[in-house]
Amino acid sequence: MYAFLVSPRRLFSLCASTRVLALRLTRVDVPSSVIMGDPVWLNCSYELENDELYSIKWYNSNGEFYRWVPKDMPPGQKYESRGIHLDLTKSSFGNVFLSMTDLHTDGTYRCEVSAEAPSFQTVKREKELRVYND
Amino acid sequence: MTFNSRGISEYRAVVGGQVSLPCNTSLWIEEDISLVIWYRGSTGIPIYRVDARSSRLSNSKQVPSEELGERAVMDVSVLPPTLKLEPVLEEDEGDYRCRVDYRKHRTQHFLVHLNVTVPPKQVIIKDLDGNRLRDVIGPYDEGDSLTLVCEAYGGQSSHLLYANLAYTYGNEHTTE
Repeated sequence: MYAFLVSPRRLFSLCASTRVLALRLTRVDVPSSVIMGDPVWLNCSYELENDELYSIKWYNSNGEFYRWVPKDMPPGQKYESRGIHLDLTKSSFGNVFLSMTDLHTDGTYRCEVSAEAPSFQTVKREKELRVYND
Repeated sequence: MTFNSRGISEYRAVVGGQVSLPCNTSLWIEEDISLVIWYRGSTGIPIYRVDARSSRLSNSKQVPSEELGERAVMDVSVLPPTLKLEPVLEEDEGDYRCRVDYRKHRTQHFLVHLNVTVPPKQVIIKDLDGNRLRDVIGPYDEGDSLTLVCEAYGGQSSHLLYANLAYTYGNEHTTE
């Protein structure tokens, strides 16, 4: 009788040989309306069946303002953008905390998730955020 | 190259020919590039990738999708860098998006649209009575009017039209 231990890494490489790429966004949460000044959470959740995550990126109409790249050190990075008051200490993966909002926070937000090499398969979704004066 | 109503640069190629689609992002800093990906239309499945995370972009392996195979090559030594398709196929028509990932700069995107012209399979010249004309026609008297009908069969978006007329006047032979 033989007993053997299959380490999680070995199990992954067994799956990889017959991989079926199934990257999809499970939820993209952007509040449709916010009172100016209030903080806001943006959330982007995904599902990767037999692949690894390469990047999660958040964009607005001015371009990319946040990314989470597991292989980077640190994984979370933000870019200065008008209307985006991002607290990196509270943000991770697709969850982004905007500590406050102003009129320039209003706009179209896009979450883009990419799987690792070799495919780099990518999914994205856009949602609108309206900022209202109280 | 023109701009269409969506504000996207448009390029045109002929089936069997070649086209260089530019990745004309507003920023191109080669040393900081970690990844370049080309996508077709709105699908998220890349048709071309250059992974420069552990090597310089110019030394990085370029990987086309299986369908594109050897028909596609990216040239990162020119500005803007281009994705060259050769030979162009009818089904290449559509939108293309280039995405450039940077280590320290914002991700850049550039959109182009490719129109593909399919040349006609056959071109026939007829007179107004529907008679097919070949080789040498005439002779006509000076002052006569002559109407030639050019019919093209097959093809798509073929709006390139060349008319080559060779005529002999007296003893002089002219081509225009």
